Amino acid sequence: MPAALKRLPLYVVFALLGAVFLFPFVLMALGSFQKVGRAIADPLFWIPDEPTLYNFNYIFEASNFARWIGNSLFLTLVPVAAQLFLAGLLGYIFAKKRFFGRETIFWLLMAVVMVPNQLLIIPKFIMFSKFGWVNTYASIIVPELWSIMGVFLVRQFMLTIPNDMEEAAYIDGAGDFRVFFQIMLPLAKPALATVGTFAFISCWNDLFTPLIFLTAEKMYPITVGLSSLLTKEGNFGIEMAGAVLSFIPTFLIFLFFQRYFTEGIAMSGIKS
Amino acid sequence: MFKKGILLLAILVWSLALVACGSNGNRDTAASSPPASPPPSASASGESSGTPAGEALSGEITVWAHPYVSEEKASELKAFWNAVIQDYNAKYPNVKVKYEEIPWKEREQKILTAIASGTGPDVFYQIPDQVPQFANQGVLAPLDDYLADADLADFNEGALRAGNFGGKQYALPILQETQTLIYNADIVKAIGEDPAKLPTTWDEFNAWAEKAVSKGYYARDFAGAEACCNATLYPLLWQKGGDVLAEDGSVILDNEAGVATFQYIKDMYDKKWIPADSVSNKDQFPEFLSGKMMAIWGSGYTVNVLNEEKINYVIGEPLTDKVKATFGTVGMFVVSEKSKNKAAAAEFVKLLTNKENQEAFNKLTNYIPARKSAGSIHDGDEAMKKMTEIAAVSRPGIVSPVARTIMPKIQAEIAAMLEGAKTPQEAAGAAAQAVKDELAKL
Amino acid sequence: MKAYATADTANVSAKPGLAARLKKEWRKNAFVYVVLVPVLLHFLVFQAFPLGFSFVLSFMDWPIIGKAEFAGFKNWETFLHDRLAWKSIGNTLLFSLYYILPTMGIGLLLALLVSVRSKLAGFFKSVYFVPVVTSFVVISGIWAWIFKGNDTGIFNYVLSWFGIGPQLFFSDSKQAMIVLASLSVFKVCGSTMVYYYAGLKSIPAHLYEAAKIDGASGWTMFWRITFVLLLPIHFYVAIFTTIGSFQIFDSAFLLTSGGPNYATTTIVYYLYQEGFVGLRMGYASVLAYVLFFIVLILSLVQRKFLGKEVHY
Repeated sequence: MPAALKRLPLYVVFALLGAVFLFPFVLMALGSFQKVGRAIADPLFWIPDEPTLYNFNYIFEASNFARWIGNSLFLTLVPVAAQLFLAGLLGYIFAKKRFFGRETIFWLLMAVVMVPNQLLIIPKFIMFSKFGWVNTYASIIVPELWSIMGVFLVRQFMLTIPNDMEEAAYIDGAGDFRVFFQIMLPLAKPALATVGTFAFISCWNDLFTPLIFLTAEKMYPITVGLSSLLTKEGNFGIEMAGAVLSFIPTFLIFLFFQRYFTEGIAMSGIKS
Repeated sequence: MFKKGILLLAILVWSLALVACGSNGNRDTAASSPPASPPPSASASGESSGTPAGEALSGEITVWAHPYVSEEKASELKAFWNAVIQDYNAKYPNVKVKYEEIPWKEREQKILTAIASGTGPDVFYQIPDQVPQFANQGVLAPLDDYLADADLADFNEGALRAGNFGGKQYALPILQETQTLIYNADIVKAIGEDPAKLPTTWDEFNAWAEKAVSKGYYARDFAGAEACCNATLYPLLWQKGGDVLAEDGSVILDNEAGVATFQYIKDMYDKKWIPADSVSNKDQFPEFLSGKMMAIWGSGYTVNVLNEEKINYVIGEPLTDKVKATFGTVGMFVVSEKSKNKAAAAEFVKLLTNKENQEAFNKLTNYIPARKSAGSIHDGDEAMKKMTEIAAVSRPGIVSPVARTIMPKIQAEIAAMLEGAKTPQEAAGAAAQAVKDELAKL
Repeated sequence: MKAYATADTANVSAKPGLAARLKKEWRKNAFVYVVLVPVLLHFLVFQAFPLGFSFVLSFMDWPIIGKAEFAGFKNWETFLHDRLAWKSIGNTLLFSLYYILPTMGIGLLLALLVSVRSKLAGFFKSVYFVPVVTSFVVISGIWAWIFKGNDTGIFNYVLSWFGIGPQLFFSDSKQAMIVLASLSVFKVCGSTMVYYYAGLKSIPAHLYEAAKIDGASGWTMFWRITFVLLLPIHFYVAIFTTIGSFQIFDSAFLLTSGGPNYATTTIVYYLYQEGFVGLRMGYASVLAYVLFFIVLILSLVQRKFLGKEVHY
């Protein structure tokens, strides 16, 4: 057993850090089953003495929580799907196709990467007011249909793929779409996984944009809904139940696509 | 090639921007010139024309209101709104009413941006210090054209006046509230005082506070963050004989009374009469409820919760130093200037503030009805009777278009003072300067 | 008319060649143009136009409700004298100070830890990554209770074990920003870990072996080999944490509302206040451009100092 013993300090460090990282989530999970009165006098108030579903029942009765989760799903999945498709397509075009002005156009598009979202939000608010888009799903979805970072990632990845297979397919008489869908898209899977995970995290967790563009409670995604719940109640149990409910979907997605999250996310850093 | 492309793009962007500005200018001028004649539906809504009037109104109105009750009573409040809407639809079957509850925090931002983008509510809630600002920004529709048949004389005069700005009636009141110190009777006894003889002056309160602190209690709360300034600074300022603006509109926040009030707050903090996190605390109710605090600044809402939590409480008189005064707001409903169905919205406001609804609403929320005919609902309730008495010396905040925007600025100066970054004199001066700056932006 | 006519004929003579070339290009790349044109239009409407439009806005009084007016340089001048705007920039820099290095350092340490050969490493890598996928709103909701500034606060309770009295946290203008930064560090260091992890994996093993033969200690090897070869990762992580730190808004909005005494009023929070609470869209656009310039300059500076190529 000496080998295992030698490893012991390592495991202790792992576990201690793990505890630090998980504590807030444990606090949240325990607290969500605790009915905390207004009179909080004890720092251990968050440990449930009589676990109850009161907080969850209250949330579903008194707020549009189910609807908010639905909104978040819609406002995330549509852009993610579109971004995946367009990142693949545009990445392919900018990596493999030879056409007039390719480099100019690409670097022009890339030039806006440094522009913070907050700079565009004011003109967009005015534009969308004129379009009648404020308080519609379009205000969130349409601007996010593709992202240049995603295109960049896929392009960089495709540049490393040799041209042989593509050329062979053309010689066999395949059209552009077939070459793209049957050869290039499957090859770009790792890059696309990265794009998808990035897009998912940023869309699902966005607070600023929907806070400004979505004015009716029914339209809120979960971030805005939860933040209104946080400021409204001042009730610990209810807040934590809300946090649990908004955490679960991201956590499930994370569990399923873990590998892409932790491995894919790193690709962007290395290639640039 | 690259440079040419950039140039082309730049020109395109600029021309698009100019086009957008141009078209916007046109639209705005069109929108800001009011129709010469009153809306046709206004005359049709008169009671005299009978049933056809109800049929004449159609469309959709959105109503935004707030959580006036604690979470335990949320479902009762929902039932109240459903009943009002049902009532309204019995009269106006062709109008669809959408009700939404908006959290208190950030409500002004939500309402303003929503209205600016044309997605705002038709009917929403305002308090007196908001009306001048919103009316000034052209967000509120004057209701005078719709009030021909309304029994305005039944409203409490002061409450009705709070909805009046520049000679136009913008709002109908539904509730009045008043705020004062509420004492924990058990703690009062614990410090050797009599709950039946509560302090009425600053000096008396100060003596109690010393005793409470020496026994390990906080004297009172001071929620420095969100409650500023209506529930924290202003009542003290008025009691000291000061104010933010003088009658003539000049800023007097840093006069002698103002500085003395800042000093008093600083003293309360330094002597630990109020909790250390008062600098930016949002809610010190837990300290009061868990028996660590002698008095809490509260209203009918607070009384409601204290009843639920079974706390032994006594309601205090507003304190006097030079003047007997306190803060008490008026809750009103208004119609948005951008509403497409102003007549329907105005009818909703009228119905919402009628005698029956005022009774039901205020019984539930424990506020004071704003109609004389509904005044008897709290008869037999000692606490609310007391609150109703206090309402006589209540002031509805600072009435100015900058009333709301100056609050976070004054709050920041108080925070700086409590932390010791500024003396009371400097903080009062800086706060007064901030008020002047805001007034200059008008 | 005549001039045009001659010009026309001149064109006609060149036409067959050009037309044919265009035709050929179209036949070859129709696919590209069909995809690219809508994308470029989208780019113009949702990126390029707003960028130009907000520049125009910064020279206007634009209250949204009411009339827009040309204001010249008024907004820019106001900015120069606006103490709060400069304070918000200072606050944001302070936030960066509290946030960037800890996020990088902790991320690197975690990466070193999880790159140990062990079955548990993969599991803990995922554990440390959980905050990254969690929204600011959720973590802020929890932080509010952990860092409550009285004796019922959970962190104050932990401090009391060590004999430290209750701290005010959000109610103390010196601590509030540190607490907000700690939230961001907690949320983001999982992703810096993943970048460093990938970087560590790409360092060729033979370099370590060679160093070992030369008798280098573990400490020397870390600083001379690992740390140096991670330079591109340092560069990338530094850029994205810097940009992120200048856009900090969520936690200031949810937890402190910019207070106490403006201590946590960051640029974006101030921009939000001016633009969407004060409805001064023109002035908010100035602030947005200032934010843009800062981000741009910082990333150029970082590129200059950190962006050197590394050869193995």
